[in-house]
Amino acid sequence: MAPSTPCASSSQETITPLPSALPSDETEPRLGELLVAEGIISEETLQYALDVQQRTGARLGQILLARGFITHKQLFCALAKLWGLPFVDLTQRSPEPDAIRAFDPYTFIEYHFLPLSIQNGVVEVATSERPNPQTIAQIKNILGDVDIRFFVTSDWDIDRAVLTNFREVILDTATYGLYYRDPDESAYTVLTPIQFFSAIIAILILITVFFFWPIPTLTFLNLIINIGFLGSIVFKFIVALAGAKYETAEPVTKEEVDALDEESLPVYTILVPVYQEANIVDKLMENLLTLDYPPEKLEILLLLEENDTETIQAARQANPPDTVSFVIIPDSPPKTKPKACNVGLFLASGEYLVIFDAEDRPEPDQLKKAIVAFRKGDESLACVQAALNYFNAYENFLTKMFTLEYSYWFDYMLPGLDRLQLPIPLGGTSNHFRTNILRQLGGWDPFNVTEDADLGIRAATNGYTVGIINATTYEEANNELYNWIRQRSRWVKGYMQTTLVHLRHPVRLIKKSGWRTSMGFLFLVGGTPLTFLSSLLLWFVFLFWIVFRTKLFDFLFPTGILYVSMINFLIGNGLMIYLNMLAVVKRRYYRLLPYALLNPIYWILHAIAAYKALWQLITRPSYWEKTTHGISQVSEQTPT
Amino acid sequence: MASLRFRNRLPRRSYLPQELTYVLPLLFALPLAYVSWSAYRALFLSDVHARLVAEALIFRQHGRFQSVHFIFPSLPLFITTLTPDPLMLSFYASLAGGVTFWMIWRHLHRTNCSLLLKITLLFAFATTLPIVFLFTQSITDAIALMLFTLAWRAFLRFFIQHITWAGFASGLLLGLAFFFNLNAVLWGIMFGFSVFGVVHFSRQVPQNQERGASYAMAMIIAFPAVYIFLSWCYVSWLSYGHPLQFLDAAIIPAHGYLSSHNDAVYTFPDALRITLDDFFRQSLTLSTFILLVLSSTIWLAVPLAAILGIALFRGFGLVVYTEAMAIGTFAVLALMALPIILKKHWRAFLLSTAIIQIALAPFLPIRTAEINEWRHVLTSGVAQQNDFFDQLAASRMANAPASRILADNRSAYRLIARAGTSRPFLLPGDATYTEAMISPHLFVDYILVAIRPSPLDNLSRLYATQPPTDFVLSSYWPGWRLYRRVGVPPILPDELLINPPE
Repeated sequence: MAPSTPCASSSQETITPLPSALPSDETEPRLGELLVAEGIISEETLQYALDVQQRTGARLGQILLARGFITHKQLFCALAKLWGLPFVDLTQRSPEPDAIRAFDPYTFIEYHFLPLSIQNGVVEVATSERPNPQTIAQIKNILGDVDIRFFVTSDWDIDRAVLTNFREVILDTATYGLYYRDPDESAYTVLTPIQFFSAIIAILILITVFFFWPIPTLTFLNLIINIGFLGSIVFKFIVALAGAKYETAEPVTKEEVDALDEESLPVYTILVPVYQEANIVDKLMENLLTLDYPPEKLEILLLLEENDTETIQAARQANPPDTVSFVIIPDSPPKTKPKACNVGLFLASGEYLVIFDAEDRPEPDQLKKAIVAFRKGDESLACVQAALNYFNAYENFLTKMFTLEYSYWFDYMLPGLDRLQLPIPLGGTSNHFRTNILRQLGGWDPFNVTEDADLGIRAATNGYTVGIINATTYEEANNELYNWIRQRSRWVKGYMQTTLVHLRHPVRLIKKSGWRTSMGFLFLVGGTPLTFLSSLLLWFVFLFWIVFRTKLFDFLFPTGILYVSMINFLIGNGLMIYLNMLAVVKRRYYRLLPYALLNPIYWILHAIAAYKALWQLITRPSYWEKTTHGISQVSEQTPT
Repeated sequence: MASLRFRNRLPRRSYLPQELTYVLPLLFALPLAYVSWSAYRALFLSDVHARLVAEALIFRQHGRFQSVHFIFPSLPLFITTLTPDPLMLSFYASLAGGVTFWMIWRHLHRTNCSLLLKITLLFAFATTLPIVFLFTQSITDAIALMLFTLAWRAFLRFFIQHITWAGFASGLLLGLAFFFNLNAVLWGIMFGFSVFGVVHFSRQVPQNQERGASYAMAMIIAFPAVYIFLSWCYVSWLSYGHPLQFLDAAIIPAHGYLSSHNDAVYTFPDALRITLDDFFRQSLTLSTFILLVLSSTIWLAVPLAAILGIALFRGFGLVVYTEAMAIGTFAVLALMALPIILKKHWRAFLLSTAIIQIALAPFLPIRTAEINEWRHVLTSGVAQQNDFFDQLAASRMANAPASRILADNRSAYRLIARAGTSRPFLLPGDATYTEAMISPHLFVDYILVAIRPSPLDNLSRLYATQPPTDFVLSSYWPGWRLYRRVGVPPILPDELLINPPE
């Protein structure tokens, strides 16, 4: 945060009678004139800002802040003068516990005030907004009929003071909020007692049956695996076909984006969780500044972990504009991205909210496309997901395969799911929300390591829809094997957690969401880890057989199963390779096409990651395997 | 550039009511179904349908799931297994024909031709005898040609409108077509190669990416058919120990050199000659290609590539590219590419050539003996003598007790298909077949011997001239002898004692 210096008038802390602090008449000097008179900005700057104001409808102070003409301190000191109120620096003066205890901390964020003290029926209140009847009503509603003495302070200071003084409450809400709301919606418990006993009974039955009829049991299991595989292949093929058909249809057109009136654009909150990424903070700032959105309507919350001093230091050194707020996330377990995001959600004031990762490079018009999509969609549209792709696609084998996979996933699968009205598991970043619906949904689950996918499914099961937009965010593809395995194992573990969470009440799931959504969820989220886990077994059997030509496994493949298995092996693999080939055409990554043939190797890596995920699900279910970013040798340029 | 010139004309929409979209294919299929029914009544049974029905009956009734493996072509066999009846196969083929006619009609409907001309053009195509034969008597070719038509239409959309999805659909359709007909591999490769021209001439791709784009799109289009072909080679290697053995083991003869069937194979010059003959025989196809080439020389590549491809295919001994299929391919290639805006004199030219084709259709010389037989049966309305006796014998044999007639289905498939059951037959693949061949009196009451057996039919060769011990000649009719065990009553009527054995 910018260092604060006392305002000229703040030292006196004059108490101004309430009526004069309320919205004033025309004779009062205006903010711009005051700033010019005090020599903080020039006439030209004021004129420029007024022009922007006419175009965007934003507040003048916000415009000057966002465009770097003034600092927070200067703005709020000027506002204090303008409103005839004293300025108070909350870094110097903390609120008294008695004054704030009775309030819900979210009230302070929503109404931009903070009681400082209460004594003899007089309450001193710091505010970053001109005192208004709503604020007064809120205070009197809690504290009774008290006299109120207002002080002016910056919005940053209020946020920071709330975070400091309600640290435990906010942490608790960010961590356990979803669990308190409905324990069955949270991955805090891996298996509910019913799930646990069901699993135990299933295993016991399996062992017993295996003991008495080993060959039929194994054959039956093989049948189940193969039918599951076949179902998964057919499902993915149908979804990708639907997505491919979508190719020519743009959810949001350029004309629709151009037709947007900037004045009508709402405040947009951008959450950027950053952890141990000091090396890319400066790039992050550059990337966020390229967004085509009025900066005065952006609220960028950089979510920094309290103990990550290196990144905090780097962020400060990057000297971001005043639209960027640093939110220091209190250090406590679980140290996960969703927990940080929940804190960010608590502070968010935008009508819409998006998450970007530190290394993300969103296409400039992405926010506007999201706005258009929300306006075109009905009220149940909770979220729109932008496509993700990689700027270092050609770096090495791993990044090439990753790019193929992402192109297929975001360019064909997600549009296909959207078209078929199936639940969409959100990607890690670039998911845009209606903030109020996100709060209704309970935010992210800090115990789920793919909190994004879980949220997408939760939205679908609660009757909300998730859409897609034709905008891309370029990220850094993992280019190092162990790092990739760590990341992938987290994703697979998260899918396992999500499946277990949403299958706690299967009947309720079907009743609430319908067969279509439930089956889509099962195939997509539940089926993915299972196919990875079983594929390694099948590949092993196949390779063993091909090398030794043994008849050892013949009993597993009676004719019917052999047919299904061969169809999976030949047609299924071929289709999946083909869909990956198709993905490169849309993005014109032509040189990647032959690599689609190497997908079986990549799938073996998936299978290895899946076993790691399974092990971690048992041993460390909520452990967040941090992916190291900023290790690519390729500069941030799109491959095309 | 043809592609660019046509592009602006394509957005014009079809004005067909939506309901017709579903009804028209059925309506178009009706005349074909009637032809199928007429041929069936006249006891005509095509070789393709006979082989499929016999195989399906054995598959169902002898439990030969194990021995079938991934037999080629698999999907026609699968369809036949559901309804092992030659008439049903003919109806399915008719339906495929209806869809194909409808696709062509849809395209013609978008042109500025008069209704009379559109009807005449479609009629000219639909009354070409080999095409009618294909759409009534060869389910494999019928569905393959239907898929080819859909794939070609998708490819043209890719070519003219540059819709990647259409290229993808085209590739997938060709991949699917492989399950019906080996020709799909040829089409896949040809479509794939033509992408280089498409990308180059369309100028939609920046020049520095042209090569990459061409390779990528070529691979997208050719991959499914080629991949599935290679997969089948792999399965063939697993099942038979040789990657191309599936062509020999195919239900429908596929490869003349590998095949044990006595199918015609050609040298390349001969193959080229007969392919050119297939091409030049249809005046409408010829005139449409002339029109296309005059609008843009790039279209010259289409007939040239098709002629060369088919000739090469045939030259390699791949006998699946039948006369009817070649004629159908050329016609579809031409008609589906017909420009949407046609000048008046071109319309007149097309009308005249279509009328000529219709007028000459009954006199069109046909190379394939089976199509000539079929034509004769249809025009005379009288069953051929062989068919009559075969049907009579088969219907009587169908009533025999299970596994009491020793036969080899590689020769006797037509009789099994006509019988509508394989239960009375003891066939190769059955556990006791080999023993029964050596000591038939211990296992069976009758032995069916072909006069001109399949090369693999050892049974017919073994007892070609003499019945085994304890057996006597019971019946004989063109192409067949039936031996009866002494003491067992004859199962065939006396009228089958014709053409005494040599």
